Amino acid sequence: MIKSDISNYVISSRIRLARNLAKYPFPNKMGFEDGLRVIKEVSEPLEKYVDGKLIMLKDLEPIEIKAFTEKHLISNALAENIKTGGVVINKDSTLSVMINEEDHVRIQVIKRSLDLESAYELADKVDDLISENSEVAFDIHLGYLTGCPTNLGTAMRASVMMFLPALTINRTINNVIFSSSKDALALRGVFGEGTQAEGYMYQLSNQYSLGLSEKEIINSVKNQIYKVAEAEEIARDTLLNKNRVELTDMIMRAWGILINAYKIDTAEFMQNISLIKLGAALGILKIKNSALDEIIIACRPANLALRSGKKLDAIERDIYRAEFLKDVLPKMA
Amino acid sequence: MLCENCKKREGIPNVYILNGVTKVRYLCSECNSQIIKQKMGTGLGSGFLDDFGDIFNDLSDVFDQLFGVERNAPSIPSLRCSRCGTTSNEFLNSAFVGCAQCYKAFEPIMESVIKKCQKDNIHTGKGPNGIAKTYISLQRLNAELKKAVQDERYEDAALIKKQIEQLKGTQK
Ligand SMILES: [Zn+2]
Ligand SMILES: [Zn+2]
Repeated sequence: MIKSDISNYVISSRIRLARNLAKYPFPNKMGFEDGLRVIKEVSEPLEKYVDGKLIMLKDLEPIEIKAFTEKHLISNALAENIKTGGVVINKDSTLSVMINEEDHVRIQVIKRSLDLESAYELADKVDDLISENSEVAFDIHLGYLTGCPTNLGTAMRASVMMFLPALTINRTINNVIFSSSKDALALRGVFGEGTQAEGYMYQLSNQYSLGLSEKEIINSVKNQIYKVAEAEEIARDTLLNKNRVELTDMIMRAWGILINAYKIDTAEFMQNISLIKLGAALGILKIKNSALDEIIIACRPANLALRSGKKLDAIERDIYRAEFLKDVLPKMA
Repeated sequence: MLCENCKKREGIPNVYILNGVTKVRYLCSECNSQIIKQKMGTGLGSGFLDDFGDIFNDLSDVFDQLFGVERNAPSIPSLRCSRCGTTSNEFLNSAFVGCAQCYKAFEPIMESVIKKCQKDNIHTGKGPNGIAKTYISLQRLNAELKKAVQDERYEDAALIKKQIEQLKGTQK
């Protein structure tokens, strides 16, 4: 059992449901006209229900599309479908319904901290709405039929983003990444390549979507989350007991860089903000980790460019990022 | 805490996710790296797929690992979906079917594909509009019954049987 709140280890929870309309071929085999029909059929009842407008990708600037992917509101697969891709997003951006992604419909709900249940509750309601209005491709044995067989059945992916600095620093998280294809769960670094997770962030999600109920999937992911959180908690205690002085110094230096730099690139920013997040998690800095998560997204290249309101080259962007940090960070401490 | 393996050096918590179970073990870095080496030899060496959208979009890689055997076997029947025109070869190369009917068209190869990437081949979750609810519950209970009998949990099996009878009763 963990002693502190689970939100010290979990950033966000996400539920994704994939659905296809029975009367159209799947997006990879669908023509332009059918694509627009799917958009219309799915988005019209949805817009009323979620009080959000349909956004067509063809009406967006490339930088706006990139900014949506940085915010996880759309997937890379949707971002590639400029012609017929669309998305309906609700007011508080917790729900996004992607249309003509790998499947006709991808319902995605993201909630703060560990809250797969309420994320599923909302996704489930949206799913009901869609199947009231359209015939959804479904087979009694295989469940919801999806473009890729890895998503069959519940067609659900329950993912939790975890913040695991101590296990990363201990280098004991590396092991988790070696999961074989028969494992029921996958844990991967969110930013960065391979084993070196930038920002100490990892994504844990279910592997199987067929053969388990939605509830079983959510429960198994949750169980694993608590086990990993427990290991992280022990690792943080050890880290703090052994290296308090060095750690505090590292974190304060990172703070110094972030509020004093004249220019800072994505990699250096991520490295230092991760230390700030670690400081916040260990109680060395009195800052809310959720506020830092928002700054991380705001500092990704496309979101930064949008905020500046003008076209920036790489150097200008790094200067602008430093200016932005100088403005927002001191207000938080 | 001492390393659980060598009981000589100091151990730190190591996280492993294997067969869907998370294990935390106290190991020293020497013993730990030995275990990783062993795992690397047998496992795939990299994580499986996820689709948060940021970085794990190379499904084809995963499917190489999943379907590699099938694709190279000479006995794969050549199949074609009459509705969307997708061929079994295309499917095995891209990992994507072209329409709902493809699942019927590729039935002879689908079973082994599903066996490789899913836990089971019977859906036990939600169905659209609740129409299939009773049926799905029945499938689910039957699957549970089978498992209970396999595991020789006969008391559970009797209980599940009772539930199945009840559910069948409400159907009529
Ligand atoms: Zn040892
Ligand atoms: Zn087809």
